[in-house]
Amino acid sequence: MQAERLAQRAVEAQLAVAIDVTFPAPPPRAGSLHPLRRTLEDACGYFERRGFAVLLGPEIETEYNSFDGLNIPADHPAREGLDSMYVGPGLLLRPHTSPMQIRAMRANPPPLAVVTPGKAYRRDAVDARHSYMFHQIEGLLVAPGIHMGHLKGMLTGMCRELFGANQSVRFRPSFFPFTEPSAEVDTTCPGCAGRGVRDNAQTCRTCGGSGWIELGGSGMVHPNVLRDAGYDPEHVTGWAFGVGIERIAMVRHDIDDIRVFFENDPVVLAQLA
Amino acid sequence: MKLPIAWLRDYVDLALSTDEIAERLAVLGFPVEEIVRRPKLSGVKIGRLESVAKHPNADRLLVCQVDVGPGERLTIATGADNVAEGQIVPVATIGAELAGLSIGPRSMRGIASQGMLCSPDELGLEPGWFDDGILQLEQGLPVGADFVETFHLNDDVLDVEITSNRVDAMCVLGIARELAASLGLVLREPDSSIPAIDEALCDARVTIESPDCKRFVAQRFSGARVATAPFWMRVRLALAGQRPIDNLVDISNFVMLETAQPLHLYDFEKLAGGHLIARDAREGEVLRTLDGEERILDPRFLVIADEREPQGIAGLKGGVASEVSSQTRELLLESATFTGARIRRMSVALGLRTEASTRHEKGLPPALAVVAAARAAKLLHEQGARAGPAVATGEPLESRAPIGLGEADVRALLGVDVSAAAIERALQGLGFEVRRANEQAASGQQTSRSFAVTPPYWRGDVRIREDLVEEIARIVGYDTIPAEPPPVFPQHIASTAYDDERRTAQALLTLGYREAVNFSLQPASVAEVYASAGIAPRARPVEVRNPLSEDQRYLRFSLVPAMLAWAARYESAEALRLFEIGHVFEQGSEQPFETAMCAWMLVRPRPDEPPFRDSGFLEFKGDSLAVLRVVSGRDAQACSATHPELHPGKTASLLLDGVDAATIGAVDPRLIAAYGIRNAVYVALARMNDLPSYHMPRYTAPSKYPAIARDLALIVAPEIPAMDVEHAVRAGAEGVLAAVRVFDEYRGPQIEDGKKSVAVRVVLQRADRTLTDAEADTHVAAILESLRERVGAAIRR
Ligand SMILES: [Zn+2]
Repeated sequence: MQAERLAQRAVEAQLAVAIDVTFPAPPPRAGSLHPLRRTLEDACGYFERRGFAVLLGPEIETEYNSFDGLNIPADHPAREGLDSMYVGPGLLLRPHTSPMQIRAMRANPPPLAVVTPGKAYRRDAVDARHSYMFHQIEGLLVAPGIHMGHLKGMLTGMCRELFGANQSVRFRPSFFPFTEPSAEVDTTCPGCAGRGVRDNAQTCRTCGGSGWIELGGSGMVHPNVLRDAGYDPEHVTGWAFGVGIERIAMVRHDIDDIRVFFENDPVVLAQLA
Repeated sequence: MKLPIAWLRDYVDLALSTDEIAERLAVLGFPVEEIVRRPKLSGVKIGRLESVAKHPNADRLLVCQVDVGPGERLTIATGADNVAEGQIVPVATIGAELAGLSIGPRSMRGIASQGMLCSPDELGLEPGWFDDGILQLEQGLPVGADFVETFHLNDDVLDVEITSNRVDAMCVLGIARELAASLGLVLREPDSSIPAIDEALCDARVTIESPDCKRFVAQRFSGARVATAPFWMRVRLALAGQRPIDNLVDISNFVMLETAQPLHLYDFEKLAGGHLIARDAREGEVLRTLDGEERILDPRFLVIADEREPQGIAGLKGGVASEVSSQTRELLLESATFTGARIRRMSVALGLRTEASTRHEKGLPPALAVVAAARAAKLLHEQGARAGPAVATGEPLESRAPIGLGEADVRALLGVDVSAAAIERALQGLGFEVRRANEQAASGQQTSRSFAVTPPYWRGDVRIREDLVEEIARIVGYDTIPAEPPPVFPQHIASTAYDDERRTAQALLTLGYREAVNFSLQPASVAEVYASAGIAPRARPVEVRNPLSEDQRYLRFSLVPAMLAWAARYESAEALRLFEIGHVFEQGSEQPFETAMCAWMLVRPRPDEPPFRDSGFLEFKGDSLAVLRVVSGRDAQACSATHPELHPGKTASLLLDGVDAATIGAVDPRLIAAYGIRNAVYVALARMNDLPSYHMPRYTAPSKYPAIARDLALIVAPEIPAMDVEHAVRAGAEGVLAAVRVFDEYRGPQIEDGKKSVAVRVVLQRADRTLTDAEADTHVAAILESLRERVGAAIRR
């Protein structure tokens, strides 16, 4: 009896104690993916679940894979927008991830469904909106019966994965030598849900009021590119797209300066984790 | 390209707002980068100055009687000094709205002024580009008409982006054609008819000596005088961003902005022999161009020369020697087509880009040259010139073969049905000639129509079926393309490299490491810091041949420097853990190589501990082994190693099945010093391609029987590594050893010189029955014997 009472008293004494639960916890030992990898993995994941393989490739590329094989011969005006850094005769830092289209097609017969994320480089100064090094994700689907509607469908799905369920995708005509027809890809601005103004009635700074954000380029793979890679354009058609990862990550995290990604400030890395 | 909506209206009747036009252009593939909003003017009339007299009360004012239409005469005082009787000028009436001001009745030194004569800036026009003082209009304009409406001055200007394949759209007419096709409107081609050609005016000769001049249309004119161009032309040029100069220069600019074909006018009497020759420049030839620069030429440049010397750089800039002046009476017009690539190379070599070269370098259609010349002839005729015949020299125009197109091709590429009628309408609206080919039965019952389509001369970019489909898609609208899921195709392609990256990143983030992404290019100073620290770079760095700046000259040879830069900046007492996965580069004897690497780093304060101990290293080793465990499913073994960036005495290789999976260690103290780092820094490096493959871990049933743990205190030589001690324990306790772990090391006063003490915990356990204490003693004796034999260990008393 005595022992029982003592035990009860001890429990009561414990119950009478209260701590300050608002007292700060010690910092946890937490790691994180870089926001660019996180966005890249989210985009790739969407395609992987639909049967696409993910391929990585070299950053030093041949001039052929970067230009000629993509239907951009020497002196083509489109080379101007792809101002590249050379590291040897006919060798350069790839100005886009599009050379992976050629590598993937050369190495695999159709049907082919791949996405190829990675770094690309252009001869550009670094400022709030530009960086000479950036990341792209390139997608390629080549098989019989593939059309541009399938491209719009997959890009719409990718945008919903990245930004939310209410995204839509808009195509605008454009010109890329390696696709025909070609399209610029826009998606609903998540900053203002496509309205162009934010909740505080201010013009949306993410889209500048247009209600759309530009993601990148796309189109049906040009028959010359298919042919050069050993595919028969009479039997297969395909689409390709290339979108910028930085732009997407900037919109997702509401970042307005691209340099944030390459400063790697541990405070910011923790913030964006 | 600046596109004044006012100018567009010359060719197409647009009933759309500025924003609607911009939206439509975007849908057609010509995104509008900027809308330049014009000030909204009203109440301005075209007036004629009936009389101009001195103000009775003010020396610097004039009083004008202004005719602003039948029965309407206004008295207006002005301070401008360029007014005279008979002039046609814009007149702001009472209530007018101008750029930044409203006009009300006012008294000027006792005279009630009933309005204002307008200067260019009051009308929202570039002040320096028009008359000083009051804007002067030409005779013949309808007095009393609304000035703003007559010239569409309130229409905004669009800054339109034109893709490089569409040189035909680098002009107002080209964009008007697109809008007309898209909106189903009629396109009014500009008027190029002149009443008479003076066939005798044919004293010019042209010789083409270079294949890069494809076509040269020359036309003689006589009798034109340099004067101010009519206001409608000046205002169009100005809104398009082109400064009006004089009627002749303005006509050549106007036709270029209207049709995309650059033109050049020569003072014919200054051309030696009346002869123009398109040829490669000779080495060292000199030409003073219209911008005043002296250009020293060489055979890379294509020039238009007379019989003596170059008179212009083809497609880029004319020369001063044959420039049209107020003395010019005889003109020669050049409307030529050059090889685009040649003009581009010349433009790059000279560092000179002009409105003309941006068009020429994209390859103008040869058939355009004569069209543009005819248009210029019409405008020069209006300026009083007699025109000679246009003479074309060069390659004959090629007639284009039709492109076959089936209704089914459209569906196959776009995924949407477009009717045969819509296909025809879309292409015809853009100027394509469409003929229906034989109807073919496709897939049994349905008929699929097919067409033979001939592109117009200005659409050199359209060559194949797919190009036609894009044209159709632009007109029916990309929005009609449905968003559909594609059929899924089984893939046999492995995503190995990507999966490895993901697994590694996942393992590191679980252990508390944050991922960084650093720039791949770096200045020479990075390697210099290494060299000054006495760290020899492993390989030759890869150099960018054409860097934009010194900061971007070299490709990184290691992931470590960027990490050390953060270690140097990091001041917190808490540990910093970073990792990066990226490529490093080295220059081989033949070509550069790149290697995908993963690096991870721990930065932490240095604890107070004896030199033989480095608890930071051990912590980092624990993290690193855990990373490899997650990546490989196995436990790696550490053994002593070296690496150029790491401390020679604090570096280990982590081996899996004897293969080096990662190298870890404390960073070389010389690098630590060079980077000014105060903390202890540990780095691991792994080659992604050498990453161990994952082995699925196997199950071993845990023993149900109790284990007996014994701690042994041993004295060994200081060079005996813990691993050897553990091996010796294992060798002495086969079958009963559940675990062995060296958990302490000590050197100091209590230990004899040249020895160290280590503490080992040994856990003994049997799988089949309980181990007795007596049995344990026997096993421990065997273990001690093995330790003595293998590592010379003695029991510490
Ligand atoms: Zn927005």
